[in-house]
Amino acid sequence: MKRTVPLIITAAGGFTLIVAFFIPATESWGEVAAIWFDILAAIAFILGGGNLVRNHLKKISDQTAGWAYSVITLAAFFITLTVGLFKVGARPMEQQEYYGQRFASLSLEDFPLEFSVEGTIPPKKSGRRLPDSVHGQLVADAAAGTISFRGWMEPNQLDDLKNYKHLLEWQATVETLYDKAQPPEPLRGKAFYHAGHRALAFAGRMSEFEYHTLRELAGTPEWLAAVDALYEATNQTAEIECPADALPERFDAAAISPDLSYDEELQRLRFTGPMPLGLRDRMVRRFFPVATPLSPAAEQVLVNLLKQAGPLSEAQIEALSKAAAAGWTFDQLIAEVNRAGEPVQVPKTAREMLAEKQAGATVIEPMKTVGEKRTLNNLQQKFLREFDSSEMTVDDLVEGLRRMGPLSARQVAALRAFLAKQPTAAERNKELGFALLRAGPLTEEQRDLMFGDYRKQIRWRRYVGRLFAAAHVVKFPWSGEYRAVGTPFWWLYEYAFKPLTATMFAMLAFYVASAAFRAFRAKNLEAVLLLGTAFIILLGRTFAGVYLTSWLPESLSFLRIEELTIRIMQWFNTAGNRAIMIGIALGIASTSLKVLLAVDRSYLGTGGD
Amino acid sequence: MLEYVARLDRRWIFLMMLLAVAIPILFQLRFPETPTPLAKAVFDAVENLPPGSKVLLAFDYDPASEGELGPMATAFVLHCAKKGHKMYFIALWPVGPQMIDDQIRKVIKTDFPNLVYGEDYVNLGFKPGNEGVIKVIVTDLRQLYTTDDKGVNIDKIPMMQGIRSVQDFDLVINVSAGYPGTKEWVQYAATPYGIPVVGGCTGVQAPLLYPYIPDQLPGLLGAIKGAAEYEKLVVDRYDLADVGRYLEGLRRMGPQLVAHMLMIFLIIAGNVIYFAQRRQERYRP
Amino acid sequence: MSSGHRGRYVGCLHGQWQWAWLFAQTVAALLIACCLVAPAGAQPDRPPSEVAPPAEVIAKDHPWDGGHKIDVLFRPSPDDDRVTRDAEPSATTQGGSDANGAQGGPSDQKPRIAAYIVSRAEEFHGVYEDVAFYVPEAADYRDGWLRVTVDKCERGEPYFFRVRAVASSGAQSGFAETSEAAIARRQWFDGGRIWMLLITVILCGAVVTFILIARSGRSLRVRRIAGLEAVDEAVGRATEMGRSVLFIPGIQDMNDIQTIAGLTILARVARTAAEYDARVEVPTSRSLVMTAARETVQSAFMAAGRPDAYDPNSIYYVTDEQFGYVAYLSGMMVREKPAACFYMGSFFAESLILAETGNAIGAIQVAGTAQPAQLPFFVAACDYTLIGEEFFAASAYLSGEPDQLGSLKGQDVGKLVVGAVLIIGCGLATMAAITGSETLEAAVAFLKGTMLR
Repeated sequence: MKRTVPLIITAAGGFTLIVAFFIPATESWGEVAAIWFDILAAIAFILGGGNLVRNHLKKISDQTAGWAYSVITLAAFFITLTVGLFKVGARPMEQQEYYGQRFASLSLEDFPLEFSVEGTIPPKKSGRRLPDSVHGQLVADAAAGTISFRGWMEPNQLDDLKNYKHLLEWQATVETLYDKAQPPEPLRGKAFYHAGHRALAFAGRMSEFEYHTLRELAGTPEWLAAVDALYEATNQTAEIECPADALPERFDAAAISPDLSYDEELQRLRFTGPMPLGLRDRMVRRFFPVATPLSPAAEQVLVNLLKQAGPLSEAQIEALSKAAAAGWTFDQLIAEVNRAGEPVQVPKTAREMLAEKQAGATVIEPMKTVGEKRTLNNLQQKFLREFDSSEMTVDDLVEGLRRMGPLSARQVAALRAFLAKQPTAAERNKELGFALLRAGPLTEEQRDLMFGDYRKQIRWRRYVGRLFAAAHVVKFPWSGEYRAVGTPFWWLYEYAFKPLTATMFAMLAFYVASAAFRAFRAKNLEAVLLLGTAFIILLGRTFAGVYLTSWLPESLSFLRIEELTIRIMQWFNTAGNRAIMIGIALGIASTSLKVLLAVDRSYLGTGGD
Repeated sequence: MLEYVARLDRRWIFLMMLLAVAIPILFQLRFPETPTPLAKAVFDAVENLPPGSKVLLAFDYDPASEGELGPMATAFVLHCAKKGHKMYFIALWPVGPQMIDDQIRKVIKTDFPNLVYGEDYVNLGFKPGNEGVIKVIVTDLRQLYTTDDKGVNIDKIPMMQGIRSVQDFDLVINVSAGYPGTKEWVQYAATPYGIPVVGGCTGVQAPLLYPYIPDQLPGLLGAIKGAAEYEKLVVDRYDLADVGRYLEGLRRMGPQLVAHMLMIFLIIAGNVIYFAQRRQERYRP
Repeated sequence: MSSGHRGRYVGCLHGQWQWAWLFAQTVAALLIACCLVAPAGAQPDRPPSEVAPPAEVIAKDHPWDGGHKIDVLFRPSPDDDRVTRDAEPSATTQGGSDANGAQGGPSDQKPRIAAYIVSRAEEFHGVYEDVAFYVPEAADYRDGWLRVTVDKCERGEPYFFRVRAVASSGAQSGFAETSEAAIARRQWFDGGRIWMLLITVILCGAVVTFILIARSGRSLRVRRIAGLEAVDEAVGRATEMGRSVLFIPGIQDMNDIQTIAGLTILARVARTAAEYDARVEVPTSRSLVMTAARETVQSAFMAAGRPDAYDPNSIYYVTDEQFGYVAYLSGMMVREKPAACFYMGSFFAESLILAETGNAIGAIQVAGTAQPAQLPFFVAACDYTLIGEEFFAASAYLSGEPDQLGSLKGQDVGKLVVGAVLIIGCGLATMAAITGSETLEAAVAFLKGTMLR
């Protein structure tokens, strides 16, 4: 019995895999069989780990020779296991942490709002179910001829449902349902329901008005309790210590957000509610404006200031000029904004396409062109070229451009996105400073001039980061990457594992040399042929071989070592390898068959049963 | 004397090898490199794709083989970035994702900061299962890869739109140190589905992959020599001959040449000793 | 290659070898017949020379597949110059997305139609998505139809197709469309793998046949394999020197057939060690292998009548990491200096490190692997090496059981079949290249593209 069961399992698993290869209906059986092996191997790891610990502990307790190595082995094992398994030092994953939102627990069954539209869910003959992203939320009432969705539908759910079946009527129904299954207008983009996390969520601080609007949506006790918890959670204030000199010049909390404040007396920076990522970034860039292209006059002013602060060589001036020219230009910005002003192809909605079909169209294009061509007029271009971030914010720039001519929303977005990607003036000065340093030394004053703003920016960014962390409630502490840069696991990998494995692999070079000296003897004809081939390949794989036979004329180019190398590899080596591979493949097939048919049972031991 | 040399302590040989590798590195010996047809075929496979093509880069190697395969991986990423291809990274080895992160840091974040994660390149990470992974993703990639390496749902990644399986890619580039590797990609992707696959592998593996050239594997980079040839093609094409970090393969060919010369010398020396000993024994009374 | 008696198989065809030769001849004859008969077809028509879309489109389920393909057949556009009376028909046309612009037609004029675009929708007059860009070759025109196989269809779902012609200038014609839905259905057998099934049946049939022959009582001889003969010698040496025997079953897991073959040899080594009262040490790289190895060694000790001598702690797990494992082994070999080292299983880069370290400590080394890349290292550094098939034959060789010896013979028949196919294929390809005969070329294409795909 002890050997019979494994034999049966072996045979069953093996024949399942073979059958699954030929019979499509059984394909999934083969995949399941393969997955079971992975599960067993994973469980067996626990056996192996336990065995490892037991053996080494025994060596330590018996103080056998080399027991110190066992101590090191066990210490390394436990440290690596701990820091890797518990993701020590790994920050939560940005994409999974829902920064800027607070959660309140609310199960799907307790979510009181359900939205319905007329329609049916088209069946799938292949048996494919509705997408997992809407699991439990979408139901059909065949009798009433309606489809209902519980919760507020998210865009990815809409896409999944539309891709479920490419029928215009179904897709139009889904779109209608999506439009209905949204929070009321004042709460759009702020209130969410994450069914997978069983959580009602709110982005930012919930105002009184928003609180009452949410409460009025339903009267169930679970709903009201969740809304109350959410209101309380989003109105908590986080604060950090922040000395006044860390604040940027012209710091104005109200200009950023009504939820941000600074207590000058206690020197504390406060934020009410969760801080969105976008706000965090705006807090830094608001007071450290984007660097605008350095005009020749501005460049000269900078050079003069540097010269006042210390000596400046010609090489440094040239380096400064070169580095300043590497930044963005107004022409690029104008081109980007004009590009955004081109009519753009956007996908039509399913309802639009269904309307076309019902009107009798036989060719339905899925894309449409929207927008009329808009380019910046001369006034706008001139205004843009005069943009100085030290005197004008980006909002002022947009306002000014609007006053001088038409500007579409896409163009505004493109302009903001372009400027957001550019370095701040402080970062630009830092790069210029490094360019100067590469060309020559700088005095302390000159360094302060070039790096001073950047130091302030870094310092301010650190405080903003601390405030962001304080204002955030961690939801999924273990969602981070175990090998994130800077974590203990990463250190172990970079500075212990990588060098050690590379060292072991590198030892091969030394062993090959000693094997070559000891074992490669021309004892018979075959050995001589082998050695000759080895010489050709060794030379042909380096420049030496190419050099040795480069004098051969073109008509004899086939005798050049690099050509000989290619021929040897392509003909002789390939033929030999094919023969060995064919033999091995047949051996594998035969051995596998013997194992499956239980003809060969020696791997289970040589016992009698 | 003959006896002494015949029984030479192998540590002297190790020392010779150490010097053979160290001196070229320290003195920065570099030699010209002439690309072979196989390297050119790999280069053409990437170069001839129209910009914006979808390329799957499977990095199936570990730090131990980084010496041989790191430079070619760098050259592949550089070439794809220069051509403007969309890069999709995966790994079938557990430490493959670290190799991918290294290359992203070394190439993309350094010289292509304008490339946006999720739009121009994405790291789908490691999946266990060896060739089983290939067998599944050639028909249904989303069955195994539901998120990227950072846990983002792939439906939310713009460049994953329309990608349902490996057959949706224009090219698969595999850098392989063993099993699973290029052989498995050829067996389970290139052969049954005609998916174009090119690859780079360690020197020891290269002879095993020659039978697949050129039908299933149009081109192959073998070891550091192949990496150096491919690097030469890329840096010449894109005028990057003065960027040191893209010349690592060429740099490592210096020690390779000296080491090969040493090997030849050792083989010859060993045979001279062998024949001398045989003659001695024949004439001994 | 380790030494052995050569020439035993040649010129000695009696008994079971007559059957083998007859079997191989039958298979060869079948193969030749299939290659020459397969490529038959009809002549295509010459279309009218006016610019127009394809005339007619039909879509139907692709036969003998897993339910993901639909064949779209359409009459070429009348403007398609490549349809001539001289064009030879070819084998089945696959999906057009990987067809390149091969202008194979006999006409010297550039065809006005360069390609066809096939689009698909899930409803009639819905949103059609382009699924294939098909550039036909002259040989693709059969009976006045072109065929494109569209993949990635969902099984059981209805699809509608449209086909447009694309002129050399890039201009597209109107479309021809299907009005009835085509549904991809799953057949019970994947027809594309019929030849694979046939080959599997032939090879496995040969193995099973010879197992049955062996069971019937016929004696089967296998040539001497020096590496396996050396097991006793190696273990004996270890016993004399009072040192241990080191057995390394490779670095792969139990799902690798080489590991199983390695454990088979471990059973024999362990039994010999038990009889000689030598200590066997088996450090493993995988936990499952450790468990299996313990069973094997324990059974071997029991079979030798020495259950008391079995020590489970001598079989232990080290680490999954390749170089961590070999670092441990190298250190252990240098410290404990085993007298005999067996490397039996799947190895990669660590093979040379192990073999050289074993050489340095003066151990007798026997290696066996089916990794072709590692064989040279073992051959250079070890005393005996089992190469490829010899390694798999170990189980049969060591047990001497008729069943297992029969399977070796069956394996050899498989080699004969492969050899016959190689000779036939190379002969056909050579003759085709020399004579330029289209029949022979088609036969070679059928052999390569269909039978051996």
